[in-house]
Amino acid sequence: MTKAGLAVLLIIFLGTAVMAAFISYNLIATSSPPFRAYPSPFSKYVGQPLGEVQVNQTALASLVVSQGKVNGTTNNGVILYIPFNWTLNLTVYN
Amino acid sequence: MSIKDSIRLPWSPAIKLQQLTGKYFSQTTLGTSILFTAAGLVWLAVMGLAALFFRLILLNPYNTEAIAPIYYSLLTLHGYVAMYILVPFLTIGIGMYAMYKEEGMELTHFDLVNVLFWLANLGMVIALAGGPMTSWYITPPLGLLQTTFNFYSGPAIALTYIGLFITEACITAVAGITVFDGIRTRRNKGKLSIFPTYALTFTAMIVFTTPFLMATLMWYTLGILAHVYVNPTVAFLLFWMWGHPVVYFVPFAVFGALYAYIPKFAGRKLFSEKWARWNLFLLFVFTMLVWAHHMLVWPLPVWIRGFVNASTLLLAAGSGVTVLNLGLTIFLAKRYDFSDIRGLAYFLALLGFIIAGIPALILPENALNPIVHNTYYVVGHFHLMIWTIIILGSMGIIIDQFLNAFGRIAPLSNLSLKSIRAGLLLWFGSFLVVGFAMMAAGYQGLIRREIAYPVEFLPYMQTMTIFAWLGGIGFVLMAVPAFSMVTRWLVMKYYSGVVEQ
Repeated sequence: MTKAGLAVLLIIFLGTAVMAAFISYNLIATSSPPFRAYPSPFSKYVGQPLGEVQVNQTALASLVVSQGKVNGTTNNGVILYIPFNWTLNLTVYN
Repeated sequence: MSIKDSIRLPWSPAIKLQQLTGKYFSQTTLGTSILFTAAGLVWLAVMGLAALFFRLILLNPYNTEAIAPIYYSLLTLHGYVAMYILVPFLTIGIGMYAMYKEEGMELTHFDLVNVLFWLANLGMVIALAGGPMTSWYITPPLGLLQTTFNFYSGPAIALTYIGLFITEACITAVAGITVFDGIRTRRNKGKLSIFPTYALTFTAMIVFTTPFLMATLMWYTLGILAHVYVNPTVAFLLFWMWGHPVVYFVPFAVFGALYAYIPKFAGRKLFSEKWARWNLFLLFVFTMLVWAHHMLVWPLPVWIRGFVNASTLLLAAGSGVTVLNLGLTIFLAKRYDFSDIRGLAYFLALLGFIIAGIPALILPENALNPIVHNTYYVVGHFHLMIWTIIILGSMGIIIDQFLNAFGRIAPLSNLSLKSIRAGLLLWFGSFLVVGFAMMAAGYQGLIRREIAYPVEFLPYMQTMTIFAWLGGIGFVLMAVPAFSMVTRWLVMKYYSGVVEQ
């Protein structure tokens, strides 16, 4: 039995275990409240510009086109994925 | 007297051409295999230098559009050379060498293969001469915009795709000829040994998959010259039907070498030859069924998403069986011969493949792909694969090839051996750091390909650049002794008159 072989086997099994834990963590994290889609403060007609609205959370934001078909999408919508840990600064003009 | 003899001229182009091809064309299988692997190393140096230079540009997080044409040209050159010519050249070179060394199978169409080799290089030069900034995906609309090409304009931008088409057509033909000639000249009966089995299977895969790319290139050419409508989704699907399998050509051909030689350096039999042979079917079939996992942010139907998620994990299982088989072989041996540089190269290739492969398990998961999609996480994963199983695995084979061809009259000196060993270790260590820096930055959201990025990622970029340059020094330490062997062999044979036994 060689140490090099043992190292290879350990990396295979421990590495897979670590990765399984990492994947589970990400699955849980992305389906937990801060990551779940939640009502946007901009989804209603506001009349006047809101100015800067602080949303101190990481979110998955959806840009949805309400009418007409957007070229290249199947659900008439455009989905914008914000990378983990990034901040989304949205400015909305009516 | 034949007509040919009766009209013999003092200077005939046919005879002159024959003399030239006799002198400059490789006329042996070993020599032709070296032609492809050595050209692969030269292209590797070209695309590696491009990467080292654009890494310097990336040291500035506040880059503007002024530097964009240079950055994107270098980035595109890096990708074009890697995927369109380096990968197939290494695969074909390894395929030829495996069949020649293990089974005595030979090429017979030398002149044709040589002509196709040079045409393939010429096609790449034509493609690169336009200064494309399309990225290697060549996706429309970027791939079809006038402004994406620095030097070609108007209908001339089609030259890029015509050049690439010439390259790919030649490569496909050479791959087909290699497998065809090999099978025709095989004298041994029974099972083909494991190295050529893998190497030739994935050389043959070039023939199965490259026509998809050629169709895409032809479509773009018609799009530019005849204004045929190019549907981006269909073009991208076609592209990835080649674009995914191409990443496996070299790793799976190298698997054959690992199966054949790791047991030799471990001094025992392969743990399970049966696993290795059955696994080939899984690897071959599933390699061609996973391409859509590159399009998880495209508007694909749910059933395709489910299918590629599952098929990619099944393919990963095939790779898992490979590394387990090889790991058990080394584990159950009494010792492993690290003193041989080829033994070291194969071991590092195996180790790197495991380290690079495991973090990739998150990528095909539909629910999780958006977290890391198009970030440096992906770049870190696939570059680690390239730096280890592709480059180090090929290095092991190329050193073996060079020793076989030149070693008798131009053996490697002790200093050369030390230099190659240091190069292997420096390359492996440096790029391990670069790969993990890329993955860590990518997981935190560093988007790939962009010239400007949030300043918080600067330390990661600095780490990547410094260690990439160190890895480059590792390449020099490996390549200089290898190529000096060729030079010494040429001098000994043609100038000093040393005769090979």
